[in-house]
Amino acid sequence: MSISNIFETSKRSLLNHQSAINTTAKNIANVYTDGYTRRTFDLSNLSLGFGNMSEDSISRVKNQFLDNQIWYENQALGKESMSEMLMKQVETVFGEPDDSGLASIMTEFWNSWSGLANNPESDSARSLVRDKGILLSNTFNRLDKNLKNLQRQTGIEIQQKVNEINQLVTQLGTINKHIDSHRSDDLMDQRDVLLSELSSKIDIQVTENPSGTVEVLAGGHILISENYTNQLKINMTQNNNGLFHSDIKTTQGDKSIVVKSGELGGLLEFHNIHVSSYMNSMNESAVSLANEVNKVHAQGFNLTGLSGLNFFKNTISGAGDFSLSAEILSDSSLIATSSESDVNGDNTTAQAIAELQYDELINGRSVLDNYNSLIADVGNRVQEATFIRQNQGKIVQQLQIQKASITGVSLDEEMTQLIQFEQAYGAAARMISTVDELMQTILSIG
Amino acid sequence: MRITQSMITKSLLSSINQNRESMHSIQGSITTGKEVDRSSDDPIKFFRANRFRQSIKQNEQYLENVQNAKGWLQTTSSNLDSMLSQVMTLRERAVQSANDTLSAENRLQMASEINHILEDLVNMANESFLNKNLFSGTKTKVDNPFVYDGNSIEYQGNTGKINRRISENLTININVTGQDILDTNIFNAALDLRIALENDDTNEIANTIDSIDTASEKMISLNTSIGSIQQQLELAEDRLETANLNLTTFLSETEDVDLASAITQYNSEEMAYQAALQSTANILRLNIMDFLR
Repeated sequence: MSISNIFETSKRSLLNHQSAINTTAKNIANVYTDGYTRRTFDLSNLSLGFGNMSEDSISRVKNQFLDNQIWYENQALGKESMSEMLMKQVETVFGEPDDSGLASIMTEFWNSWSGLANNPESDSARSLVRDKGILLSNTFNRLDKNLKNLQRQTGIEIQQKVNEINQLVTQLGTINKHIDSHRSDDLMDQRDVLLSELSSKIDIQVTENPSGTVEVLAGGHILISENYTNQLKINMTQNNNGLFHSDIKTTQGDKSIVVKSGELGGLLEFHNIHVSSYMNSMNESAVSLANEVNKVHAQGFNLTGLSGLNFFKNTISGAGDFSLSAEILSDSSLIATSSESDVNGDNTTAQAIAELQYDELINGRSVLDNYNSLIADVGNRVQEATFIRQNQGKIVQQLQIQKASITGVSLDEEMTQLIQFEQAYGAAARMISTVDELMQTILSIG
Repeated sequence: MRITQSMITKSLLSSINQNRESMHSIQGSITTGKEVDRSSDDPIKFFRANRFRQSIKQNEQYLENVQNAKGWLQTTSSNLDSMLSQVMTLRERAVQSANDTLSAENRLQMASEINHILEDLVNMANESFLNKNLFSGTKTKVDNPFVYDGNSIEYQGNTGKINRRISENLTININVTGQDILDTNIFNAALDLRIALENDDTNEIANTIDSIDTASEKMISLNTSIGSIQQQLELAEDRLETANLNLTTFLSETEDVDLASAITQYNSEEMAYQAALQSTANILRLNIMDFLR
């Protein structure tokens, strides 16, 4: 063994420790960087004296299981956060309890009939009934419009969400290609951040290939693979009651994707299912209220001795076109109160209409209770979504903390290592000067 | 477990956030005074509170119905009272004129007085409440329910009953129809008396006293039934008022916040929040760098 060998070993030691210090520096620099995975420097082969500083010695600390867990739980978190937000908006649309809420206005409407029954001869009591009827119509119309607006807005939001997803897919596809040709820790960090973002938007399944590239499936269809990406598009249809239905399809292949979770899943569920179920329930209330009132009203006689008039429009299909009949709208004195012609003091009809408020007109429930249940149902959904969102948030939080525990940078650790490496570096330098002295000694022999 | 910097930040931030969130929700209920302000706060309680609110509104309408009916009945009753007192006068005159000492001329004078009383009675039977005839059945808007042309009395109303709903499952009849008054035979008794006086027929005069008595008994019984309806209304009014008082209490118990406990809870949350902030500041400052040369 020659002395120059010691030179060589010491040089490698110097360079290696320099590299290690560089890794530490990078770790410290990224102590708070989101998605940064701590790098470790492998010094093991150095002990053999054949160590070679190369990128292979630096590796990303990684826990695939945790990542997959986070991506999975993120989907439910995304969905419930979205549902919570949307349901709260529905709650705001109904605005209960408030004097301008439908429940209060409906009660006032029934009360106005009861008031008219006290004064069946009166014109002013009639115009009060008409005014309350108009108020009720306006409230039904407003709720209908606001719910439809909300649905239209979610349609736009779905489009935006799909755009975001497509953008992420494109980015991930690009990263995949780079990783395929040249494995890079930085790119993999970036990839994981993007995957985490993607998983909060749509339910995906991720598999990592040995080469470091990922394959991403959504609804059983490939979105991203080693050298292929597919985009999503929306197929929106409008049905005859003015409501929309949106489906997600792949751009290539035109395959339908069932999105169950993620923010997009929450949006779709709300857009396609919840809005129409609330609309249906409200329409049910509107239609049966109008029909039943009309039925009784048409049998009654008004001050001019006429009968057979409708109080509400005859052809109401829901809350959207809820309105008074043209006759009543133009002349409130045509409102019928009496069961007999030309008997002004008879209030039988007015009272019968006021009593409709208790009649179980819809599935064994009064109109008001049907509406009350709708509001309670909205409340239930908000509560449920909030509960799951909070729980899910805690799960994701816990997983992220676990991940941060493994892949995050600990300053204490890095500083300790820095001192270690610094000392080793100093020692190696000392080795060189010692070898130099040895060489001098040898050279002075001659 | 490895403790890393990002982990410390993440968990500190999340616990501070949680603190913030619960403080926010308690603060919300303190400022609105409501524990259940919207459906999502507690759907079951909200549903119940909504029912209470609507029942209160419905009861308010029933109270209005009751008050309206009370006015009507009071006027009816006081009219019947005045009619009764006229009937008493009628009887007095009948008894007086049955006396043999009166001359035919005196009786003729008496007859015109009786005619006045009869006109009075008809006028009272034509009385109205808030522009509605009291005694014409449901034909409340005919000009005059009773028309007296000097010879006979014609009733223009009908036998229609006027009902008021005073609770979810109770309606009561509040009117005395003109037919009810006709059936007491009071007008005919007065008319008969007048004719008997005009004819100076003492036997017939004595007969009318009996029919006046029967008529007044029937009038009294009409008024008594009005009295019992009024009593029913008073009871209903009491019941509705008590019900609303109770409902308001239930409503408050269901949706109002218990301020004492809410504020206490808020204070303890605030304390936890301050503690979290304090410890965060300390932990973040803690660093190995301080201990290295």
